[in-house]
Amino acid sequence: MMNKRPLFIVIYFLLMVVAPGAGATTITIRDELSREVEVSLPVKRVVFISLYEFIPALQIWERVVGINRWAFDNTLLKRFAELKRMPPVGTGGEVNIEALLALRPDLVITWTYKPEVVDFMARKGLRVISVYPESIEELYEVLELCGRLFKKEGRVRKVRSYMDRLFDLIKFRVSGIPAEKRRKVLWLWGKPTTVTGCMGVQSDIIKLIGGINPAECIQAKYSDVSIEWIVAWDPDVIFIWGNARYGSHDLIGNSQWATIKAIKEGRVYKAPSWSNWSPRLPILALWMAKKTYPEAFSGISFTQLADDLYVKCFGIPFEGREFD
Amino acid sequence: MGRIAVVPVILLSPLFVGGIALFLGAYHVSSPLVAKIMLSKILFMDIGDIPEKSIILNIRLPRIILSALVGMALSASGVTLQGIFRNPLVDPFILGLSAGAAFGCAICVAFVPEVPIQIAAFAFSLIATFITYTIARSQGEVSRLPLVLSGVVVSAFFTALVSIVKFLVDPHKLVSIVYWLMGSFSLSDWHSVSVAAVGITLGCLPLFLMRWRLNAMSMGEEEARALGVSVERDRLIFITAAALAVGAAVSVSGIIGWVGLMVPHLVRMTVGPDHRRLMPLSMAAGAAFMIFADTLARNCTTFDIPVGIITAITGAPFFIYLMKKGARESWGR
Repeated sequence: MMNKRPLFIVIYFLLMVVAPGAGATTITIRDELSREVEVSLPVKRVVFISLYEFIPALQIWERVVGINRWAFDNTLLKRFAELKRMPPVGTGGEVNIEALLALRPDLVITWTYKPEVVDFMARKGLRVISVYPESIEELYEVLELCGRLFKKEGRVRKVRSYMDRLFDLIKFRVSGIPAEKRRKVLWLWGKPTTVTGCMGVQSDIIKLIGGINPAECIQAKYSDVSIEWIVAWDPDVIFIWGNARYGSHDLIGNSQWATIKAIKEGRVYKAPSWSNWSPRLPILALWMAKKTYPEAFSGISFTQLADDLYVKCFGIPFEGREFD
Repeated sequence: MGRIAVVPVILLSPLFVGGIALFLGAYHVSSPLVAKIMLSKILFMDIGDIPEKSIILNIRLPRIILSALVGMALSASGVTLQGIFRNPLVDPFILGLSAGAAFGCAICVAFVPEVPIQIAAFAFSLIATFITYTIARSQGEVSRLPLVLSGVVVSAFFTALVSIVKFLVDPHKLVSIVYWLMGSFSLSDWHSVSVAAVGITLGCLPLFLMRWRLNAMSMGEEEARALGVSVERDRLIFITAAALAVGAAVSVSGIIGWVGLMVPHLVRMTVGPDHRRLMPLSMAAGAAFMIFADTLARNCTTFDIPVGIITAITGAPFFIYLMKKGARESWGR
């Protein structure tokens, strides 16, 4: 009788080599910088220089081998013990290339802040995808891309459904507000005179909550304007970016702003310092909507809805301390 | 005779340009209403609480006055330092002032947000000047070359420190630093006017009162001593006063280049190199030019363009034109 043992060993070896590859596919992605990037799926070792709030939402901590150093200041990620074991790799503008290469990532996800850094990483042999979602729709596209990259399409569908639920609630609640009763909503950035224009996620949010952006004539994500423009626009509600050095009290107490309706009525609010590129975005939108049209959102518990999204997306409860 | 005739024109130019600037802005205020609002302030009349009143009195007027003060400070300092160093390429930032102020702004934005940027910028501009002077003094008698060299070194040092801070800070805060460095009057109010007015007045007053001594110093150190001028002492007073004025200016407006270099030259080409005339006329011309540049910056587009860009774009070509016309005359050669 022939000895079948060596044959089984060969077949076993072949299966061990082939079987992992049998589930693997390669896809080509065109990123935000129009670079074509080939990625073998599923991605098993990834470095997040941007979009790191997607990590707990997609439940892929075990695949993350490195992260942007600013992630350690992120109020969401700080609540996860997994963050502590992550090595920092620098930032979108200044990467530590040796630290990156030592981590042997299959993929680096970054943003387009400095295209030359993206090219540099690619030249060093790293697979890099650069992103810069400029609308809610583009944010969803990037989320779905991550779903494909990590073979977490099912999880992405769930996360998207949680986000959609809140967005749909907001849209429904403001749909009944007639055009003449819509309020002018201004979003201010690092300087009190830097306003959101007609582009970007912030502009989308203002539209979604039923607001009118008086600075929509500005064909940019943001721009510095003379304070006379702000007085002329006379917004009903003003929101201040969370990372700004100034707060609502700085504007309310300022005589130059005194004639503006939002100032007179005390409707100036400072947002939390959250990233817009996050599954948390609907919570920010809901907060802005409630502040803009409190009458349309009576009976809605902001905390409850935010907590619901937090638990479903991230598995942790919502802490409302950051909200004005 | 022609030179004498332009003197009142230059002296009154800030009032003229400032007056026109009051009528220009994004918020439309009719000319009669502007005049009425200004008269109501002067004559203590009550015209009610209308938004236009706030636009004119709380937004445009402090901005015009602040830009005039800053322009005056930069020009006066430029005249002074060009006289002391006997070098037409010197501007107020040669002593490390701008780099020191930029560093003050950067660490304030990045690490100590509770401290107002103006205080940090002013403090570090003076520290940088003090370091420059101390290094130059370590060579013995403080003369021009050591001052210029130590100014260059100190500027390079603080600029490197600013780069470190920009590297360490997150991108959101970096934008604030970059904007400040470009120079702007967009956040002008009466508070910044009062802050700037004190420092700029304290700095410009000695420069104005001692301006005749610059005539002696610009002839050379030996000649100045022969005329009874205490070169070391006066140089220290001039540098301190210039640093005070420019530090106060930079603290409220950021870095605005070209004015301190260009305006003294333009006035010198017009009225000659006698500092007794040159100083007050440069102050007036600097004030007028800055009001003009800022008015352009806030009215060109919806955007509030950083005024430093406007001073460079408008000033440089005009300066080249005047240089071609008659630069030699300006130094009395």
